[in-house]
Parts: sequence; structure tokens; C-alpha cells
Amino acid sequence: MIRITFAYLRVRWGEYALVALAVALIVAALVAQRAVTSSADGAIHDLAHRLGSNMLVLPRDQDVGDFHLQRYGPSVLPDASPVILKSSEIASDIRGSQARLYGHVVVGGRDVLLVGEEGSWPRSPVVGTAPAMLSPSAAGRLGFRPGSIIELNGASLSVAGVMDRPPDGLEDAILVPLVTAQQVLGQPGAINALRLAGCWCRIDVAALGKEVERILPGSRAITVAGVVKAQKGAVATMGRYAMALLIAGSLTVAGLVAALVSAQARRARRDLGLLAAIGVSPSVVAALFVASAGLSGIAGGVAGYLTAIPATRWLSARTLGAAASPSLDLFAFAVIGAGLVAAGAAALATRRAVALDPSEVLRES
Amino acid sequence: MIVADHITKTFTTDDGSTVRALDEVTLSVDEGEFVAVVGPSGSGKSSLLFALGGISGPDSGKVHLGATDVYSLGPSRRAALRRTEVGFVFQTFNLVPWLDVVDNVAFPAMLAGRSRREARSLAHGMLEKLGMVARARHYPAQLSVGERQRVGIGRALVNRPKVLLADEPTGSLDSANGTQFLDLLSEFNGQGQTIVVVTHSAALAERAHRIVSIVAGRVTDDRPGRLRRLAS
Ligand SMILES: Nc1ncnc2c1ncn2[C@@H]1O[C@H](COP(=O)(O)OP(=O)(O)OP(=O)(O)O)[C@@H](O)[C@H]1O
Ligand SMILES: [Mg+2]
Repeated sequence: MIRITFAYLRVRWGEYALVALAVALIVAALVAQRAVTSSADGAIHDLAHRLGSNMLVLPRDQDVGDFHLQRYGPSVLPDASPVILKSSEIASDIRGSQARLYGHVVVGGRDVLLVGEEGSWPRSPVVGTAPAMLSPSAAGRLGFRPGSIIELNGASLSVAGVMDRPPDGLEDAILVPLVTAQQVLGQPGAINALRLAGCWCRIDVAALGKEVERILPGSRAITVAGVVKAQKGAVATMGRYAMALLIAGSLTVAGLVAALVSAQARRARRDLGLLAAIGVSPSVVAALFVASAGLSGIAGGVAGYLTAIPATRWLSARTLGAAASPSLDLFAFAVIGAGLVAAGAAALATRRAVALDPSEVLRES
Repeated sequence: MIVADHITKTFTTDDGSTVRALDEVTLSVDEGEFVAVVGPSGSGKSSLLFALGGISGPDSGKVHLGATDVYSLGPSRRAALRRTEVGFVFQTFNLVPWLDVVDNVAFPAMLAGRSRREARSLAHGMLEKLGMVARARHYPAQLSVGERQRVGIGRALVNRPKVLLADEPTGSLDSANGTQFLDLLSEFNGQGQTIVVVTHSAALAERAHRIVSIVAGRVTDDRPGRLRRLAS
């Protein structure tokens, strides 16, 4: 029977190759679409997580551009802001916060950035002074070493250490406890920047930003929503490409299959009736057709997956800026799925054909 | 051996009109008998042969092959019956297009359980008798009509079935090949094979034991041919 199957496929290979091609097209489109979509989802998730800790809350009147240029206006937020947020209904959406007060001071005739930060501070090396951490460039520029005393607006600081790698934006700054900075800068109870780390799993970034602004009057949340929105736009573009691919593929396949089915239905019936008339039992005849269709489905699945690899790479490079490739799970899915679908379709078709009276096709020459 | 008991077959076409191809046909063919069925075109000869061969059942009436009620069997058992008991020569040949000539002839032998080698050597023997050895490796589409007919005959006879049903087996043969086929039939019939042949050829009909005439789906005449049955 295997020999007969191969003999059959050898002669009817053209039709089955067309079936395989049709299957390959649709499998390629589906696999590429799925692969790109899932890697796009992954990319957005990554991005949100990476930018998440950078959500910045500023006083509403503070210009963002000025803030980055270290020009701080007079407006401030209460230093109770983190507590207010942690006792609000969005508390569970906020993973962490960092309140800062930025300002400029003059030390030894030189301007330097003073940053007050909440948090656990090392013990001050000199009794009666507040601890200060210096960035390497500030330490070098001002000539301070660990243990040095800095007198600032009536406050005494002592250098607890020089940071190897100063945190973002503090390349040339003196970092002190928040209360010390408030005292030095004459702004008790004030902060002028609050960084929030959100948990993006529960609420989307833009909505979280709006909530923050509502809970902290006079604040402005600079969210990654804009960036994410841009990214979503890219994903939508990708979706359109994938959609176009899917539609084109489906149409081609539908056309091919329709043409094939109508051309093949008669012949398949004839082949079936013929074998049955000679005495091949219906189940064996059905097995022959189901196996042939299943094989071409599997071949189509493999070809489709192989086509999907460069297609996915191309699509993801165009839309995500990074090459992605379909997962091996998708391979198993494509091959088994395509084989089953083709075999199932053949099984349905043969069931009907086997039930028909073969004499009709046996009269044709 | 073969008994058709009041079989009726009606076809309904798409436009709703009906054709009664067989109308209460009753026919009994003894074992070893050689029967020719004659009649005008469209009179129901092929329909009768399909019914006798277990291929296409009648709407009413019964067909017995030996002790077996053919159409009470399920499709698989009926296929087995066709495979083991009956050889069928189709009016339209119906060769398997994806098998070459020798495999077409060997096919029923393989289905009957013979090895491919055995089956092919039997097929070669058959092709020799039919003058078709030179075309053994050709495919049906490459053959002339008369050549296809001879392959169809070879396929029907390769298992030496107890019953041979042949629909116009000489319709496309020249007189030399026709005669050769008739000799083959006589040889097999001489060995006890039961034969029912549909034919327009008077020469063939006359060589049968009996000539049954069908007109418009009814048996209108049943007379002896020139061949005399051996008293057995
Ligand atoms: N599937 C079918 N649908 C409709 N009518 C059919 C069908 N099969 C056979 N017929 C009709 O049944 C009648 C008998 O057909 P059949 O083939 O048995 O005739 P026949 O005696 O073999 O004719 P011929 O000598 O031309 O081969 C014809 O009128 C034919 O048109
Ligand atoms: Mg006929």
C-alpha cells in the first residue's frame, strides 16, 4: 500500500504540491505574524519596564527642558508627596519612589549642584555634621577628600565618600540628605523632583501619570506613555504589514484551494471509485488519500515555517528595529497543525466520495 | 452461481427526470456458464453488469453470488468479494492512471495477497497472452484505446476469478485481437470459469452458451448460443 501511495503521489504530485504550496503560504503568514506580534509585545514590555523607574514628577510650573539643564524654578512639591502616594488608591501600582530637592550653591567661589535625597545615609565621619557624598568631578574641582568639612549657609557637612559611579544627572554634584538640602537651600518641607517606579502590569503608564497628577495637586507627571505610544504605533504598522500579508496569503490560498478542489474533486472521486471497484477496501482507499493529503500538509507546514523565518526577520526589522525569529514551538504547531488540517479535509472529502455510488465515475472514459 | 432476482435500478437526474435502467430483471447464470448479454445502446446492459459485480446495487431485488447476498454486505466485505471472486472488464477500461501497465495488471494479484514479484510475473504471463509485453512499462495515457482494453482484460483475468464480467471487451479491438481474446475466454471457460459478456458483436455472442437480450431494462429474449455445454 505504501508503494501504491508513492506511485499515486508520483503521478498526482503536481496537485499535492499545489496543496502544499497553498498550505505553506498561509502557514508562513500566520507564523510570521505570530512571531512578530509576540516579539513586539515583548519589546514593549521591556521598554516599559526599563523606562518605568524614570517616571518623573515635577512641579507643574517647572519646564522639563530647564529641569534637564539644571535650571530649577521656585515652585516645589511637599516632601510628603511619597507618603501621600503610598497611602492613595494607586499605592499598589507604585513600586518605589525617590524624592529629591535640587538647587545650586556656591562653594569656595564655585557653583555646584546640591542634591538632597531621601534614603538611608552613611554615618557622618565628623560628629555634629551632616554626611555628604561627592561626585568625582565635584571632589576634584573643589579639592575635597573624604573627611573634609564643608560649610554651607550655616550648615556643616563632612565628606563621607566620593562616588565611583555617580547616579544619573549627578556627574558634578554634592549629594546630601533631603533635610540638609532643605536647610541649606532654605526650602524646608520641599522637594522639586520625584521619581516613581511603577508596576506596569496593572495599569497603563498614561493612566498612572494622570492619577499621580490628580493625587498630587500642582504636579506634572512626565511619563513614558509618549514613548510607548510611539512604539505602539510601530506595532500597529507591523500589524498592518502582517495583516496585509495574511490577507494576501489567505486570498492566494483561497483562490488556489478553490481552483484545486473543483479540479480535483471529480478526479479524486474517480480515483476513489476506481480503486474501490477493483476491490480495494474503502478504508484503505480513504487511508491512501488522507495520508497523501497529510503528507502534503506537513510538507507545506515545513516550507511555510522556513519561509516565515526570513519574513519574520524582515518584518520585525522594519517595525521593531530588531530582528526576531519564530520560536520552535511555532514550528511544531505549524507542521502538526497543517498536517492535521490537510488530512482532516481529505478525510471529510473521502468520506463523502467513498459513500457515493462509484458506477457513475466508472462510466466515464 | 449468479442470480439476479427482480432487480430494478432507477436513476434520477438533476432535472428530476428518471431513467429506469433495469426493470425487474431476473437472470440466473450457472457455474461454468458463458452468457452473452446483447441489446441496444442505453438498454441497461452496463447497469446489469455493475449490479452483478457488486459495484452498484439495485434499488430493489437481490443479487446472489454463490450463497452470498451481495448487497447485504457492508462496503468492506463487498470490496473483498470483488477482490477475490470477480474480474471486471469495464466498458471504459478504468485503468489506474498512476500505475504502469504491468502494475495495473498485477494490482489485483497484490490485493489478493501475492508478493509484488509473484504478482508481476503473473501479470507478465497475462500480458504475453494479450500481446502487450512490449508495453509493460508504459502508462495508460500512453496507450492506444485497443491497448488499454487489453490491459483491462489482463487485469480482470490475472487472479483467474471464478466469475468474469466483461462489458464490451472487444469493442475497441481489431479482429485479430478480438479472436485472441475469444480464445482466451474459451480457455478460461473450459477451466470452469463463469462468464457474462456484454457485447454488440454477433460473432462473440454466438460463441456463448446463452444469449440474453435486454431492451429498455427488461429481459426480452433468452436463447441458446452456438456453444454447447458439456454435460457435467
Ligand atoms: N448515473 C446515471 N444517471 C442517470 N442516468 C444513468 C446513469 N447511469 C446510467 N444511466 C442511464 O441508464 C440507462 C442504461 O445505461 P447503461 O449504461 O446500463 O446502458 P448500456 O446498455 O450499457 O448502453 P451502451 O450499450 O451504450 O453501453 C441509460 O439510459 C443511461 O442514460
Ligand atoms: Mg454499457
